[in-house]
Amino acid sequence: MRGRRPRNSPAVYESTPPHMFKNHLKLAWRGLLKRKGYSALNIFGLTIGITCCLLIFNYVAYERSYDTFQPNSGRIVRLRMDSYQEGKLAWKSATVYPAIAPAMKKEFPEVEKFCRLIDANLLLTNPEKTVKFNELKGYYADPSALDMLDIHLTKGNPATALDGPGKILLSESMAKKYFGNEDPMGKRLTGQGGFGGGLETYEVTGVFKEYPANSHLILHHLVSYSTLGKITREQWHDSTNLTETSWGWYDYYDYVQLRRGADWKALQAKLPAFADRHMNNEQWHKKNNVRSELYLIPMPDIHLWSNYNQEAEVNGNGKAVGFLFLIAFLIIAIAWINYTNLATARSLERAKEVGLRKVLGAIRIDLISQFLIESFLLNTLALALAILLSILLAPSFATLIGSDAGPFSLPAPYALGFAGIFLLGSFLSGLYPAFILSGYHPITVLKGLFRNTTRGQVLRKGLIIGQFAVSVILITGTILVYQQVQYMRRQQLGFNIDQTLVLDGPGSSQQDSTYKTIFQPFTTGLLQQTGIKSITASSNVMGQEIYWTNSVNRVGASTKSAITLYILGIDYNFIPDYNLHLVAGRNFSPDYPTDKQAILINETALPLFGFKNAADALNGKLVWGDTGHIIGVVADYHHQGLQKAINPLLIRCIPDMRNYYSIKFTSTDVHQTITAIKKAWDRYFPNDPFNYFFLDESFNQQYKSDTRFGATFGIFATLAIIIACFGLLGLSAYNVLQRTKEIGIRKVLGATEQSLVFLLSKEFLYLVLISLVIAIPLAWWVMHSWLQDYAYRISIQWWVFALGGLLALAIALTTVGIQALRASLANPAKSLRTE
Amino acid sequence: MIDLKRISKWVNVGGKPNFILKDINLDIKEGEFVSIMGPSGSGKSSLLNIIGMLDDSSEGEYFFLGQGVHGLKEKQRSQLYKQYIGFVFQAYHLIDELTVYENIETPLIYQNIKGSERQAMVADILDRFQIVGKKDLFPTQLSGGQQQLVGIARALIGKPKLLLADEPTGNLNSRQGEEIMDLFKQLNNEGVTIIQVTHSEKNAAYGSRIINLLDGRIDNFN
Repeated sequence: MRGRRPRNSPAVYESTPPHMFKNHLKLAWRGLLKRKGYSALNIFGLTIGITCCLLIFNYVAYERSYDTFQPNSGRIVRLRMDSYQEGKLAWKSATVYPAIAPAMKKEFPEVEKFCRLIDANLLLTNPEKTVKFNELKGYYADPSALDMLDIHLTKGNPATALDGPGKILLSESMAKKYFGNEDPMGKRLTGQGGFGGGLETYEVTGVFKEYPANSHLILHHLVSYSTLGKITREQWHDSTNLTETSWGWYDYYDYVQLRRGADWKALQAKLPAFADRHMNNEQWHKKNNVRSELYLIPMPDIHLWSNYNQEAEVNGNGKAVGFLFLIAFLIIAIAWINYTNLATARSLERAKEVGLRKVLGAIRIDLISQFLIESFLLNTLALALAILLSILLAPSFATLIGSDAGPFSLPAPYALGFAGIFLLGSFLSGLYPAFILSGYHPITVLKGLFRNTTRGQVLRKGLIIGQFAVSVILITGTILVYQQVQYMRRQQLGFNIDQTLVLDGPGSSQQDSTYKTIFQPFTTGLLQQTGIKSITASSNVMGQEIYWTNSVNRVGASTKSAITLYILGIDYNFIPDYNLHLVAGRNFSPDYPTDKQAILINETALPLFGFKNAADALNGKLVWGDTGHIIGVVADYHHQGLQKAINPLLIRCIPDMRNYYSIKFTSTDVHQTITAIKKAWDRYFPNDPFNYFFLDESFNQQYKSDTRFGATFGIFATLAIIIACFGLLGLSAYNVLQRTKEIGIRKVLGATEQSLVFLLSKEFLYLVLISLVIAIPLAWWVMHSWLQDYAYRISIQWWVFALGGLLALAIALTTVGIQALRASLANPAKSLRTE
Repeated sequence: MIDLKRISKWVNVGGKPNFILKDINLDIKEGEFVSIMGPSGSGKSSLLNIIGMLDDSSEGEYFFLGQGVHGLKEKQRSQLYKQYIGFVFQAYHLIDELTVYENIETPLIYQNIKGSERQAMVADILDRFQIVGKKDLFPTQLSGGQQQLVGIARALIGKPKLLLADEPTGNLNSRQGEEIMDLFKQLNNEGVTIIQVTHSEKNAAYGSRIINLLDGRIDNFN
């Protein structure tokens, strides 16, 4: 028999045969039930990790699904524009000029078609039923928009629905709102406001299906584009066909659809030359030293990555979504690290079984597959629980994070991606312990020589460090986000928004000639009410983006270039009512008849015109079409909160301004105050809807997304720490178990309980300390870059890291210390007898 | 069957070799029933482990059924011993999570034997050892003697040519011990080669040959 090879070739054992798989699965299941505490710890940790991951995947998938329902979204780009004045970036807008898209179609063969939208905020009325609402989600639109932007008409002919002036399309719910169950086709609506100012009559030529919620545009009504042309001709006496030819009216959303196969980046590369040709080399741009740059943004990117002036809707924050995506991976990684750590730490317990199986003929690959199957079983159970939890929690999570994502669902690419991560994670987290465990030598184990093992300790320690580093980053991140939000809320804004109720003014529905005769008695009447302190009219109120801008020159200045200033029109009461501070000069006053030509500017505007200081600006003259002389300088105030930088402001004295009325009240009975105001409103403005909001509420809306982000961050930080603590709990428990005899001996030799607790906790504390050293610079860097998005931001204090570190340390110490204390209190006679 | 030539085993303690086995020459024929005796630390278990291929010798040659075991890789050795050798331990070493039936079945699984065949083989041996009624119990539900019976059944299920037993009766009372030794005798009569390590003269007497170890050497003067 010498030299004969064994009967079976070893190659047969490279893979696990099915009967072995079944056996392993059975064994894994029994092991799971036998070690209930350990299994629960593992499954619970994994379930939390996977649930977080699934919920975030669901959210991210939704946020990234915007506009993908449009069949051509991949080929549609929207234009945007950056304007530089004297080389300084002055204006970044999502809107551009109406002449750009047609010119592109003419000059670039890859442009297949285009359409333009421009806000049509109208007070719409059904004269037959006196149904009347201020409609803010509507646009004047090119006829091509219907096809390009995938607007489905349920009634009407798409070919003719927008092909002439005076036509309006309504969404299905709008049609219901204005016409009930009647057929709206061919019926009339009157509209006031918009760019026209006057009263227009519209014929309903179609009804369209509303977009789903994941659209960057919300459409309630569409007015034919040529209506706007007619308005500019008839009411503005424009003979240049502005709505087609203007290279200066930047309120238009220009969408361009590319031919199949065309690359938008290649098209964008041609835009600098295009912009030079049409704008920058033209007279006006040169004279004013203005340069404009055009960019394209693909339609599916608009929701997350377009955050400029004049966006159609408040868009999402791609950066925050990316942060969350990263957190999802970190949390699930922490959960898997736990599994790996606990499984390797448990090797002592499993060693005997491993040795035995080897003696019975198992080779390493058999054992590795056995341990991997165990890992998959645990992971699969956790996954099942996590899916259940995700379905239950998805609505609350959506509320928390402010998402419109519906019930839990993952689109195919995300589901596949997650499945891949899940398989890889379960495999990798099980692989290492499998290798460690399967490596034991049978004799040492079975002979009982085997006491303790250093195998896998380095990795285990490394993983604990990683877990706690992530936790510390999340804790400090939470603290800093919270601080920033608090900072923004508490910072002196430079004006007073307390006890302020704002009414939507009647706007252009009131004729200039008669307005004064109505407004005067309205205010007088209101001010007689107890609890109402004052009333002031303005073009905008605090917290609102100002769309009204002008190019302004200083009369007699050395520089010739125009500066874009944001315009605020106010009456005489605005400055005192809002407690705005004047650093020089005086407020507008009805005592000076010439004040109608007077202006105020803010401090930010001073250097732009070469004024040395506030006093220097007094009596300076600015020209923008009209001319105004500066009678005062307003201290800078945060018109749009602290996320945004302060814009240069030109404040004009327009007592007839009627966009917003700000009413300061002192009464504590808010309900009664509103009733009184409404009564007065209905008497003097019976044809205008009564809409109001509280200024502090609306102003703080700006911080809502940050507050949410902070809350979300905080929740995931907490969960990450909980999972990490599960791991630490398991590890320290096994650590104590392994050292039972040592603890007994030390106690017999006279060790105190404190010294034992210290002895047992020391090792873990070192690890947490090392993790701090790694985490703090990382946390600083991450949060530093996050804060860059805020024009006004906190400086990062050292104590934030100290606090985050201490918190992590305290949590770790408690987790480990409890185990250590229990061990140190045990009766040594008992632990030594078992040997 | 077993041919050990100048087998030595040492471990290094403080840089110096500390001999556990020294210069062992041993020849065991098929069908023998050998008892290895000697005081604690004399190297009995180490010798048994080397014969059972669970451990390497530091020096020397080992031929099993004519094949050189020294120099085989772990996988090949594992192939060899799972085919020809069964192990019985003093502490039984049953897998706690498995039932009696499954414990006995485990070696067959690692030998890749088909389900129906395994069932027949396990049923046979349960029958023979008269433990059919215990097949669904877990090890902790059995007495020591019964556990060792299961251990032996598990060792025999693969129809090994060689049975290695490391103090198989060490944890049993004398009546249970006698039953096990009677069983060994019977197995030996059926042709199974048996090597046992024992402290008991009485148990050693069941065998056909006694090897005495002293300080890692075979003591020939006894």
